[in-house]
Amino acid sequence: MRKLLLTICILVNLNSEAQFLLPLQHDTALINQEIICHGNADYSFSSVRNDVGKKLIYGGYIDDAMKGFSFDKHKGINRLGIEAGAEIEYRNYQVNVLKKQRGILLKMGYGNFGSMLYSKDLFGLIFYGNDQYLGSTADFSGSRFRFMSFQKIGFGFIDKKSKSNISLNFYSISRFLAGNIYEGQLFQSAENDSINLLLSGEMNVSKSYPFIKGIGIGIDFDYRFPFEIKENSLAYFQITGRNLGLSYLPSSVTQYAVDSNYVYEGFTFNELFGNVSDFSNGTNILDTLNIAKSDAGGIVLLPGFIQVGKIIDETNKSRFQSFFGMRMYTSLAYSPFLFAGAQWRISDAYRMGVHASYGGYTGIRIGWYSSILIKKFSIGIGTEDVIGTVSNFGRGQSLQLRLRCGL
Amino acid sequence: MNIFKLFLLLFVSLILVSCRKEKASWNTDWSAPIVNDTLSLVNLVNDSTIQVNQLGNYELDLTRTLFDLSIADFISIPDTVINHSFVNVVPSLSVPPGFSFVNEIEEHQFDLQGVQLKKIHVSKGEIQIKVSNPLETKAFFVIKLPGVTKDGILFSQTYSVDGGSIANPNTETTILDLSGYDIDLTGQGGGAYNLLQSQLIISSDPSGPSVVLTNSHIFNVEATFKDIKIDYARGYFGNKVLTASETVNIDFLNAVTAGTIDLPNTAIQFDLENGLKADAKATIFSLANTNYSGNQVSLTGAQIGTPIILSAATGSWSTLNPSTEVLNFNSSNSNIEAYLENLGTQHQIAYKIELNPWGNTSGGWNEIFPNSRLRVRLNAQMPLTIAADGLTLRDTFDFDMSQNTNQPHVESGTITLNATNAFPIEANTVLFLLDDQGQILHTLYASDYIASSMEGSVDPNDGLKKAQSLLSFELTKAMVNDLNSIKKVAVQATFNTPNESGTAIQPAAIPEGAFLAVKLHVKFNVKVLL
Repeated sequence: MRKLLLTICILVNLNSEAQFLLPLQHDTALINQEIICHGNADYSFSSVRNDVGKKLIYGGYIDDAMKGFSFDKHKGINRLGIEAGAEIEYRNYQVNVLKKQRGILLKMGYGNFGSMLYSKDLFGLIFYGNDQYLGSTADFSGSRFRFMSFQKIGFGFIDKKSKSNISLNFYSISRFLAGNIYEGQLFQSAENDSINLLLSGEMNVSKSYPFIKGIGIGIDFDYRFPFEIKENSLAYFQITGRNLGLSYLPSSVTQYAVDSNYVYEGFTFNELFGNVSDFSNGTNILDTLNIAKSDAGGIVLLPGFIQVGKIIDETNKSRFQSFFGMRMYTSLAYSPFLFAGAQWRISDAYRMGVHASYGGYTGIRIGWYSSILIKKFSIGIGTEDVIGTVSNFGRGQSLQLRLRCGL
Repeated sequence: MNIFKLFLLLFVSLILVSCRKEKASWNTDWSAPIVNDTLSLVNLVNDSTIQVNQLGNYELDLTRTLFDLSIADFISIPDTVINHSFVNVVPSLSVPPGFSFVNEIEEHQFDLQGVQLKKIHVSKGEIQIKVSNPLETKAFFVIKLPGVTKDGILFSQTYSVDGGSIANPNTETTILDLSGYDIDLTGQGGGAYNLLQSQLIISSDPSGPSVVLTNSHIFNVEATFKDIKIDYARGYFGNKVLTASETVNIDFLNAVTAGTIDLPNTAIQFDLENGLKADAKATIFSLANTNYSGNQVSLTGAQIGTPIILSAATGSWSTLNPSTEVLNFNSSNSNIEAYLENLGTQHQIAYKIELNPWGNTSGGWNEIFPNSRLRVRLNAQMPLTIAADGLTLRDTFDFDMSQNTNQPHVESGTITLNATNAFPIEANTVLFLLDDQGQILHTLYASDYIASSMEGSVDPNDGLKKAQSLLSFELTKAMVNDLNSIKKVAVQATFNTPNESGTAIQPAAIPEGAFLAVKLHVKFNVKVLL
């Protein structure tokens, strides 16, 4: 019966989703080896409510009421982000590298990162069509998006006591999509007899083959250091970075560049029935809209982040501890993410924490996490967005799972 | 161990949650102009001539050439090969350097199938000359074609051919352009016809040694006339009879499915022209048309079935004066009005044209010049004043806009037509959506009709009376659901020419500058699936 209740509890948590487990704990306990499995999935919007966001992620019909609520929430510039990935890491503290205090670590994993900055009118065009813009201009200038999928493998060193570590990672890029609309305006006359599309920008799309579109190199690091906040009382701070590096995409990307001011007023009968219109084939469409298609490649930033903050000290037996910090992604769509919270040490084996955050791709979020220690295993589950988890009024969802096994 | 099971359960649960049960979907409305065009008579009438009468209305001035025969249709010179050989009659003869043998003029017959030509002028063509030398030393050949001249100079060509042998004579081949040559085909006596003359002169090499010439040495010249085109001929062209029954389809009228038109008094005439200096006789045996319902009307009149004599042209070259005859069909001498109002899609004409119907009465002096034509032109002048009463045209277009309902697709829509009509004709339009067997799946009725300009008001900018119309066709979900089955679209338009009060049909004159401006817009409700 207890197993059943626990299973139901976990499933309820999973079905409500969650993200980046906050905070990381500082533990100086000496162990020989350690395996850490970590997975997270998170999406968040600055202006889209969950009733729309959930349908976009999980499927379902988005009705006019749902669209209306989200559309009204939109401002001039809006954000969205999505992140999903998993990683497994093996740490060995028995070997000695360079100095005796250093062990080694090996890790592998995959990640998907997407972000977008977009205008309210772009949302309106996508979800309502152009009909509501008759007699006005839909402006989607400044919109940009980026998406990358990668697999990574890395190795590095870890300080046996502080658990500070650094790893060098190699990446295989399996999917890349990026676009910038420098200037984009769609004007349609009120009489619906002309469309004027002003568009300049570019889009890069990775080709279908081969599977590996590019390679990359980057680092993960986790530096922890004590800080005396008052006499005889230390707090541990952490500076961590993940996936900080560059990837190289050879000619595995197709680039579409456009700089066009196209006016369309309908076809003549000769164009329509004589099959001589601008849109009679794909090549003509590109030519008509002045879209240049070419093979492209180059060096792009990996979707990495840096996080600085105070973390929980596992050696501290206090019932309550605070944590706080700031995170920043290498994405223009991501605004500085600030968080602060507290952990309740319910027992030696069970902890629970809550936190509030602001920034990233959205606004204020309330997070929750809990972890349990059973013999050599530590299991954690958490969410960075409780409101999004339990209601349609949120603007995102997140789930993070973490399993740690000390040997 | 329990922990591993728990983690496995977590992992499986995560996967299950991650799986999407269905696509995200929502509905959007998209609008766009599809057609923006103006139809005028210039668009509708392609090879006809429209002119404006004194009342400022259009009238049709139609001139079409029904057939046009030129010299090439009457006379052609077949490719012809003539051979001219020289053999020494003495068994053996020592020939000194520079000695010449002059052969006699030979005559060669052109086979011209009953045509007896005395003189022709070549506009284009060539002659291929092949000469062979059986002597061991070089020989010189002079080839003359008596009667073949250019600018008064006789055709004469000289060739030197290196030595060969009796068994293997050495040969040379040359191709010469014959364009511009006159050819006299009357032979040496000057009274024959179809005869070509040739003469061959052979000389030994003036700077070579003496050679022995035997009767086994055969000098041969082969001249081939190829692709000869002529632009002048004189002689007797024979008694040629051209009888034909031809069908002319007016495809546009296949679209008529119902209704009638009323034309004003009208007339059409056939202009017959004979530019040959030879007599001709032409007879139209019958002219009939059949309309969309199978109704046939034959043109009647005194000139149907009556032979028309076309005298020989007079003059020559630049002074050539063809003889002409006119067949005029009007409302008083024929049923031409009923013939045209039948809106026949298929016109059948049976006729005969005979050249030199009384034989060689010119003493072999028929002539045909580069500008000589035997042709028939149709001329029709009529005001474009038509009374249309339920005249229904229907045309069918192929259609293929299949869509996948698992991808973004149209669910419903509205097609809006904004028309400005300056024609005094109203139109009711209906769209039929058909399957590949032509069965009607759906019918789209317009919300209104395209009003005749008679219902509108005068635009002070151009003085034209115009009527505005706004009509729409609703594409329901049921229609769109069948989109994959729709393979053809039939557009049916019923035309009427009502009076200003709309109470009766009246003949309507089309004013100069009349047009129909069409703006077709669509608004589609598109279901987006992601």
